[in-house]
Amino acid sequence: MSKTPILVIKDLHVEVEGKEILKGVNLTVNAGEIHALMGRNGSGKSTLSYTLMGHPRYHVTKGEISYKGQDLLSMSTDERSRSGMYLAFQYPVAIPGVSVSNFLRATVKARRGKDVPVKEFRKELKECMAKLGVKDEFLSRYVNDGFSGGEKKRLEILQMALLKPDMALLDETDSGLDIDALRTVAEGINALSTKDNGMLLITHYQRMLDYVTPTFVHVMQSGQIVKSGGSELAHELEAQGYDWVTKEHASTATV
Amino acid sequence: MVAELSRDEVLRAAKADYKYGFHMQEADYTFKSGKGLTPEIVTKISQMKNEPEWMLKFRLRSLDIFNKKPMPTWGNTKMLEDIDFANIHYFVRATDKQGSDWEEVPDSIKQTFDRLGIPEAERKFLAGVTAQYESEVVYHSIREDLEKQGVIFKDMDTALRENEDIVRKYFGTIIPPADNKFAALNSAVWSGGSFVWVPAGVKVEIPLQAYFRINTENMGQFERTLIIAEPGSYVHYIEGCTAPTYSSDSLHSAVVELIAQPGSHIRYTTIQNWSNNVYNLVTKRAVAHEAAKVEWVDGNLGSKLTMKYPAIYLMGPKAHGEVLSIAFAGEGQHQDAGAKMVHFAPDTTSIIVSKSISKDGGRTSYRGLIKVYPEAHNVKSSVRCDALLMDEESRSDTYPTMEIEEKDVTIEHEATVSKVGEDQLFYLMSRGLTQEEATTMIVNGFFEPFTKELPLEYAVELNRLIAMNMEGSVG
Amino acid sequence: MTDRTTVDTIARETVEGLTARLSEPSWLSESRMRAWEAYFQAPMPTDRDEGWRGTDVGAIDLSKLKTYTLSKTVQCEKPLLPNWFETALKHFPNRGGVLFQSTSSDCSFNLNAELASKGVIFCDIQTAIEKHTDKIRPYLEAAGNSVEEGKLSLLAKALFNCGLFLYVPRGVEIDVPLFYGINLDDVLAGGALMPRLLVVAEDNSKASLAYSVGSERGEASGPLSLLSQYAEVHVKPGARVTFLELQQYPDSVFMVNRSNCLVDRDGRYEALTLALGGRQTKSDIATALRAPGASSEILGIVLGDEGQKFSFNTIQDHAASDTKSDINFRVALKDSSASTYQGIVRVAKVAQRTDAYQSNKNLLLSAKAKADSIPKLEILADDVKCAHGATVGPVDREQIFYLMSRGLNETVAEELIVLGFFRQVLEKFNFPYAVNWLGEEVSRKILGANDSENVAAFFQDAE
Repeated sequence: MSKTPILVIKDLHVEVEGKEILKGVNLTVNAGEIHALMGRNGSGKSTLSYTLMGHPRYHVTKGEISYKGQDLLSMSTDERSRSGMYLAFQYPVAIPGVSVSNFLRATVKARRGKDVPVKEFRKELKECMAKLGVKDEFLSRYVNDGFSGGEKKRLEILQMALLKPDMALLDETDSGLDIDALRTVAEGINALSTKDNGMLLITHYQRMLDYVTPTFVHVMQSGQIVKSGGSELAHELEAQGYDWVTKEHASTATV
Repeated sequence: MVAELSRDEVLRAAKADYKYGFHMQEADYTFKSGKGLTPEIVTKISQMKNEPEWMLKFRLRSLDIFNKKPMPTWGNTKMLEDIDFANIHYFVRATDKQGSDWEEVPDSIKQTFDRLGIPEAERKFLAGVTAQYESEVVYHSIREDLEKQGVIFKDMDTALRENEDIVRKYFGTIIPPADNKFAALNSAVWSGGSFVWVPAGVKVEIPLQAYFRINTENMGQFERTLIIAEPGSYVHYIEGCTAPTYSSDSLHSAVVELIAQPGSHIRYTTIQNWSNNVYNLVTKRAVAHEAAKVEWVDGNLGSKLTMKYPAIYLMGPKAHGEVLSIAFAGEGQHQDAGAKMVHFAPDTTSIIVSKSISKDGGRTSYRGLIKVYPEAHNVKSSVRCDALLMDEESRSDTYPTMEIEEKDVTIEHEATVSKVGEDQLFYLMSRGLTQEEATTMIVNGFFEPFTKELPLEYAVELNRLIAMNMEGSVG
Repeated sequence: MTDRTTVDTIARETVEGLTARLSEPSWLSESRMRAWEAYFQAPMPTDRDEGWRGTDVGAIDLSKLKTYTLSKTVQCEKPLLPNWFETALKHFPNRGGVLFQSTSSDCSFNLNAELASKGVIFCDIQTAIEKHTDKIRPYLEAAGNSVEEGKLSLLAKALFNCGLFLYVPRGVEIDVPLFYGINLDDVLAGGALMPRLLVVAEDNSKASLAYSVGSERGEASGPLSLLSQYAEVHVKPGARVTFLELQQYPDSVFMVNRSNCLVDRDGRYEALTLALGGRQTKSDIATALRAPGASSEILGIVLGDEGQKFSFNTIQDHAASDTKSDINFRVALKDSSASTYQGIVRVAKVAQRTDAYQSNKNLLLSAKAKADSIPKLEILADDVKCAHGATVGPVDREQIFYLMSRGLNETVAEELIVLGFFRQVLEKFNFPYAVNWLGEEVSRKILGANDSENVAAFFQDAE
């Protein structure tokens, strides 16, 4: 059975405010795969997610990214979203005055290219909310305004459930969640992972990976992926720490 | 910075021996102009100083502007009306010669400095002190290493004689005489002040300091300061003022011009503590060229009426301006202070932090301007004003103006007015402090963002002054 | 019948002529004359004055104003109303009364019979002067004429040619809103309309009033017309008054407003102005909290486009202890529109335990837009909680990026954010069904008439 690549990143170099953060990243995500990207703070994980979503502050200086066979870098942020790229933000911003329900309806309309009848939308929304344990009163609040960390993360997953992405990037979605919330969010992620889509879980800790089993684990360091392996790699990292990879990488580099 | 507790001890100790409102014996004046202002007096001042012809013309032209300009229509117009320009000495020379070192400074003048309770602080820096007593510089010395670095630091009269070309190039270019009535007055009768020129790339490590004093009844003080920091240089200039009390009003009207060339950094610190009958009407303005940084650190404690709004014109990309100011207004005082930031260029940033306290019927006003011209993209400016009111007789005003003609900017202004929090007082008093001590501690904490920017000895002096001002404030 | 004349407002005879034509009683002509004296003394604003910068105030020739006297209104069951006013009314299922004045057609009003039986007066000002003299006279006679109010507002006090009187007797609570509209159609092309509004809410009464001057026509060019209005609201002890004004005029209209609101012990005044503009809008809103427990909330939404200019000035006086005020003005500017917001909060020495908040936020949506903000505080009492904040900037790029990452294009993202920015103010306003109406007007201006579906959708979940 041949694999269908969704995201292919080749020799990606990215600068932020004149400083090179990513220094040659290579990564392929095929349909049906969940990839975990691990690494210390500042190793470039979030830069990769922002770059994939096309944040204007991140400048690609070299390399290419193919997304579902298209040149991702030539697409604007909203085009990427409409074609199924999804980023669950680590720090979602507040949009005061815009209610969650208005916001969600607008995003679903954008993704699907047509308006969803209000009744149908409500039904779908209620189902997703029930699964994720999101209360109704959520809908009348303003987007991320005054939300707790856990509430913000749940809203990100709720959007993901509604938008049904082809390629989901989850940036530290586990951070700041208590164990119950983490379990709920992980269940949501598992439920949304299909044989047709790809996922990239960016995380600092392996505890999320107790609930979501990745197909591959990658370790990022100083803007490069320095080690890749199966899900067992996450446990090795947990046991031995990142220093272990650092040393190993240093020794292979000198060979 | 000293720890909180030891600072309090320092304050308490300092308070005991700090005597303030004294009179010096009349100094031995060698020249004192008659009262009033005429072209003849202006000409006489210029001739006494052996000034070049262009300066005399500048003075006479300025006098003409002064006579034609109306008084400001804002600030405290009622207090301004009380100024009697005809009843002021426009020039007093206290000694014939300037002292080249501390030993040559006349004893009567040294006594004055001693009584201020601060000479220990500046004696450490004596080599760098320009002290202005009356209208002219009496003591002036430059440390040898400054000379080696090529830094020029002298009083303005000497600079005009010895560095005429550079003075002529910049003098009055940042604040022209027509800027406002008091700038015109200063331009006509100026005397003394400091001239600083820092060569490219030179960082002046010790703060340059000057003390000013007024000690003659009805005597105006019109010093003129000009600082030029060449590209990549750094200089910190400190002026501190205290004055004994007199029965009738005095006028202090200075002009300070700063030029920060590309990549340079100028910090200008003032602690103003004129006696409570002095009108302190000062024009201060800086231009900051590309990637230059200018900071005004401005403390206003004394005077009857202060009207002072240090300005920074951000002329080149990435220039940065900051004004950090405190004001304390007690009985009969009005501190009308503020800041102006004018953004001409893209990527320029500015910060204004203003803190004020009013007590015993005093009045503080913040008056500020943020102006952003078209095409000045990516400007960021934030203004924060906090005012504390100590009693119901006192008053606080906030008059900020924002004029924004460019879209791509981030401008924020916030202000609060409140009284000393009862919860804070209760907490401190439950730990054994008297109400007065607790209030003083809260007030010092309120001023902390300012105080921490001062050299230690100034911080100590300032806290001492605040403690004195807070005395008996608790009813 | 409509009376149209070109008058020289600078001539004393004009006032005399007006009262003679209308056969007004002498107390009224004397009151008009006092206002006229103040008008005559007041300096004409110039474009150098704060709040008048960049305006063509000089284009108004006060010696040749075409003024009108609007017909008195008659009570009828079904008033004749133009479309723009009908559209507004549709949002409100229950209404206490509607009053409409026009130069071109018969003017009309109706008032809920139950309210009329309780002694509520809701009629045009001419009728009130004739039929309710004892109620209205004290207020018209006592009105001060301070030069501070501005020359063009004093003109409305002296020469008002239409207007409203709303009187709510002691203890009467009106839970359904009242509507007052004026048709501007015939005043366009060089005319002057000068309404005077007087609202008196007696002790422990309650009322909500919505007011709008509008036109079917949208002349952007042609001679400048002047709309100069003066409104006075008396909120007596324990009374609550809510006042909503929609300002949406053709682009040839120059509008000047002064409103004075006086709030007594434990009274509450809430006002919202939705300013969508004409050529120039200059509005001074003064609120005096005169006795302990009085409170006010003054809200403003300004949305400018093309070359529109706005100048809002709030004057908030805390004259007694334990008073509370909240001012919130939000401005969004497209194209080369410009706004000046000035606000002053004055806290008198006796006004201990004042709680005052003032906020002005400006969004610049175009490189040519311009916003000035001057929020001022003058505090003479010490036991107070006063704060203000002001911001100026473009729409937050991170917010736009977030919405674009969810598939919205940049324009839609920005529009959505602006609507949200305004909605926060609209939702503070306690006027049933107003959010829908005002939300629709704002959305229409932002999104354009074509996007009617989204216009309707955005504020749907609001109530």
